[in-house]
Amino acid sequence: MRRARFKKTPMGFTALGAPSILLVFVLLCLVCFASLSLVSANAELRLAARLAQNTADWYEADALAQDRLQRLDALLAAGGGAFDEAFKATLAAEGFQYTPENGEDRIVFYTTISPYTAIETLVRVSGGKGALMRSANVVTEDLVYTELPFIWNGVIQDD
Amino acid sequence: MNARHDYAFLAELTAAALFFALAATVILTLFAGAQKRADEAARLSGAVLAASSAAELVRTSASPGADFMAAYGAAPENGGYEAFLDPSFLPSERMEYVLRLECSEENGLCRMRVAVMFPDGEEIYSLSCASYAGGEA
Repeated sequence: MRRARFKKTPMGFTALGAPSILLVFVLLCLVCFASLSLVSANAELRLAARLAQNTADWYEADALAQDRLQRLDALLAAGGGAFDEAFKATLAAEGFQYTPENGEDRIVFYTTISPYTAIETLVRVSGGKGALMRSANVVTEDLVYTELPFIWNGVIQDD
Repeated sequence: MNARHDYAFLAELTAAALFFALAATVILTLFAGAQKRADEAARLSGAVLAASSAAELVRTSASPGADFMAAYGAAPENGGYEAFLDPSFLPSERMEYVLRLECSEENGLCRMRVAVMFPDGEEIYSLSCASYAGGEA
């Protein structure tokens, strides 16, 4: 019986069988999925940290606004309800803006939350006492957006 | 001849096994790192929501301590008030996390600190807030 003779082909180091190639392919896929999952988890963590920081900043600013409200009450009590020039200057020196409206004495002040936002607190004054009318978040500066690289907007010059 | 083929097969198999082991280690490390970060992110987000909910309650309240105790089933503890939260950061009897409120009042201004921490005292998140009783709406 004659043995079948196979033609010998030279096999280098890189010559791998199909199972090995499949193994490498599967492992590469797994590495890709693992990396994507790590990137996604990292983004989640950064977002959570930013949310935590923004929340803490807002409450800190609000606490400062409450502090200034207390200071304003003390100033109003000391001033006796008369809005003369000296008293207005004292208020202005402490960051309180006197803004009379519709015959009412009103004072507004801003407490910074971030470079672009602040808490606006509006107080109506009557009889030397202040009453809180509004406390709201306001945008104080125009947001500066990062300039993006050119992105085709779908309009062709010849159109 | 046969021995040489067997050796080559064994060498390729060993190389494949080593490569698989190395790759599996890398993959498991990456997945474990991702899981750890995702858990940390979820915990921090939950703690922020729990702390800000409690802060909203106490900063708009005339008697923060009493309202905090009523809303969260808290009890006075170490000069503050402590309530237990479940893994979803909701008030519960199960002590997975601790929500703590500290208050100090001076001339109508009540300064408060709300913290979410582990039962062993390690802090996850905290924020400070205040309410001024003199500023009537």
